[in-house]
Amino acid sequence: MSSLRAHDVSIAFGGIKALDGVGFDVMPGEVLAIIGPNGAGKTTLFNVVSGLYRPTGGHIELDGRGIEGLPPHRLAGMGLSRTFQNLQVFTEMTLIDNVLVGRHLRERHSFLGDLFRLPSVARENDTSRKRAGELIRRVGLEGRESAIAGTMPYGALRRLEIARALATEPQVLMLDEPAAGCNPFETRELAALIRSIADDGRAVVLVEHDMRLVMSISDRIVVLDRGRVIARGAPADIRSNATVVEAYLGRLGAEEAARA
Amino acid sequence: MAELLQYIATGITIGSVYALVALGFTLIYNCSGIVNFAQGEFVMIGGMVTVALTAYGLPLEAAAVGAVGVSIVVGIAIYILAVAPAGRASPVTVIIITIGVSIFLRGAAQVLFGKQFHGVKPFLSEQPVMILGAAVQSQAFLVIGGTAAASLLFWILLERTLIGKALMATAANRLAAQLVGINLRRVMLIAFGGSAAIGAIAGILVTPITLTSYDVGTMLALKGFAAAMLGGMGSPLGAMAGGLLLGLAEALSAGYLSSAYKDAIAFLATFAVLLLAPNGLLGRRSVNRV
Amino acid sequence: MPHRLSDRHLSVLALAGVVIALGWILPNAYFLRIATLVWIFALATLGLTVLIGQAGQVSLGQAGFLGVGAYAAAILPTRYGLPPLATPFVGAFVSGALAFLVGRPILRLKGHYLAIATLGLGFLISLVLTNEVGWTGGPDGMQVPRPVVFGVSLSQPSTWYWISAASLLIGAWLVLNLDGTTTGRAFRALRDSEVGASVMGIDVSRMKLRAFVLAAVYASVAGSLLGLSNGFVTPDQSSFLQSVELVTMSVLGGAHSVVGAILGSAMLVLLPQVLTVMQDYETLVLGAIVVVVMIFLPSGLVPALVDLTKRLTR
Repeated sequence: MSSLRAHDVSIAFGGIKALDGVGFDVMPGEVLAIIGPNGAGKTTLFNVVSGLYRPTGGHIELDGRGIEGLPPHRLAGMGLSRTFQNLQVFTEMTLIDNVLVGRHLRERHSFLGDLFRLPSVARENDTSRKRAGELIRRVGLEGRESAIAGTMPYGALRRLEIARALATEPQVLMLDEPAAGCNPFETRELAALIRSIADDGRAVVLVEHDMRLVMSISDRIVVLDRGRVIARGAPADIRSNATVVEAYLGRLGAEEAARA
Repeated sequence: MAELLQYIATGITIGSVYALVALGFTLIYNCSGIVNFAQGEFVMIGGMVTVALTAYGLPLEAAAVGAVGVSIVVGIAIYILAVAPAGRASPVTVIIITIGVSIFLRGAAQVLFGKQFHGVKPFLSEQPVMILGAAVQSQAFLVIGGTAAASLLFWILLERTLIGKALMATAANRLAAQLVGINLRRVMLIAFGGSAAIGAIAGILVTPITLTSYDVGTMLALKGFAAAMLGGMGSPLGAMAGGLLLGLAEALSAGYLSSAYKDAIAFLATFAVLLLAPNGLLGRRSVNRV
Repeated sequence: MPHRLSDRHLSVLALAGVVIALGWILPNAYFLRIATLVWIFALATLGLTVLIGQAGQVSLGQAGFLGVGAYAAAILPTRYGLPPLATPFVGAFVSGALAFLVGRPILRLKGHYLAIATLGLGFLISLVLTNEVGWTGGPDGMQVPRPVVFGVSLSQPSTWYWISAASLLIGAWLVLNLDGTTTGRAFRALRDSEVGASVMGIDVSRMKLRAFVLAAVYASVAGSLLGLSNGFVTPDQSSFLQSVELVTMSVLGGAHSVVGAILGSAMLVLLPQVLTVMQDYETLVLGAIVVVVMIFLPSGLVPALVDLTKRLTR
């Protein structure tokens, strides 16, 4: 059974359809890439699926349960987490604290218990710190645990967001342009990281512009253009798909014509 | 009927003042994103300086011009001395700075003018005009007419002049405005000066009716702020509508419900609107972009 | 980091040391009363340290809860025969319940909208306290009966010094406890990015509500202590200006920090005492000081001092 399934999802802003009948599904252990030219609706699709926007139509299922319209924190509890193209890092907190926030739902806490520092708080903190430390190592940020997030470079923060999302122990991880601003070396490491996350049995949904990354790690690809799915299939099929090439080149051609 | 009319006349008069204060808020807010809590002090300054200058024997017209002038100078000084040096401080910090300015101006007024109430004679006549049994003070017509004229002028300034275009461009996108060569500092100076002038005009017009004292600014700032929120922060038309609505609601509830709780109406109405329409009546809808 | 735990306790112990030393050193009732005021306002400000400094939510109506607490101390014993020492708890419950009920809709608002909504809330409370003359004595305020313990009436300034100091210590201990717990991290997360926090599974509106209720309870207890130690209450204690002073205390010292809350309160309590010499110029100078400090130390005194010591020791 698929972990995450979107069927016929639509959303409109002020009468303009940003998504029009989009559907996809992703299995545990699989990397699904969503690609398309700028303005195709990729990030909007992420925002709808992760509960930030309410779709105007369609159906979204997580583990077989309908989730459209549920707030993000409920989705996190059901096993869906994501990263952001425009980083949503907690800039004034340390890296380790950022990841610890991801443990929010894994800690059995109570407001009064925290206020009075019951002994269970310290025990749970120890467990969480260990887990968070592992995740920081996993994304290659060891040694910087107590650096303030706001002082770190862009690429590091992208990986921090992945660590933070993993701390929620998600079944489905959605990554919005994780390689933006990374150098080729970092991108290669990122590819290995994403693949290993899927190999843990999680479903990964990826929006990315770096085609080499997409082609190297994706099991399947969905191509969006102007809010619609124009193609879907294995990387090899997409590479040779005429409609896809036209969607990308058509734009480029038009831009060149405009410049001339 | 006469009673209702009486309340409506009062409501529109006081609502006009709220509308002008809200308009002043809007002007500064649009250009800078700053909520200027000292806005009510301009109304106080307008009234106070007029009172003081007429007491020195100046004719009313000259006193009024002087009051607007003083207010503009104060407005510009607020920008140069308090707001600009704060730079990119957080909104809470800037709010506290403007509150500090407001406390400072109140303290200054207390030193200069004392703690008592001051008034000037109505500009036209002390005889109220009777309309369908309601006695409306002649000054009320001046307040309403003055508000209409001031807002028309404001509109023309924004829509028909180059500097207005610069203000609007800055409101729409500060960075882009700077990139096309708009002098941000000048725009801010004009916004603070203009906003101070609007407030002073309200103060001059309304003082014959309500009197003025060193501490009228706080309540006016709160009401004007509420009116701007009610109409939708950032919309000049919303500010006008919010001010008038607030004035009416207040006068009607003072008349029919309880005069002690008329001030509560402003906030209850604002609560209600904000809960139903979080962007105010005429505010822009916004989508949370991430 | 095991030494973090001791950090927390060290802070409370250091604070206790200062409090005890002052209690011995301060020469007369006048100074003890001033110090009592500092502890009481610091307690109210600590609530804002959590609400503004940690959770990032503004409240310009905090004095409303201060007023609820103060009038609980005045009204409950006079009209319902409640023992005066029970009033801070009942007042805190009422304030907390009120904050809980009003907070949910209000906290959906952000930034300036939240500021005006909280301001309106405080204003409404103040209006009720001023106008319900039959209950509250109106603008003149009302007497607060002195608590009597084992036949001794608690009216000595030194008694109230120790009671308010102990309350502050407990309040500070609780706030320091939050640091480094799930709740404390969730507060700071939603200050930095609400969207990020919600994706991490944090119920943002619930967390805001908790911070809001906590701040209300702190202000309320402070208000009760204020009423009990002064022996009278007036609606001024719930005014907009009082709310502004509370926020200024919090931001002046440094909104994130417990020490900042105490330092900020000390400054704003002591300033008028010093300024009474200048009589008429008091308001003017107060305004000027607020503006100047906020321009030059926008994140408050304590962070500025910490920066300075870091630079000097480097």
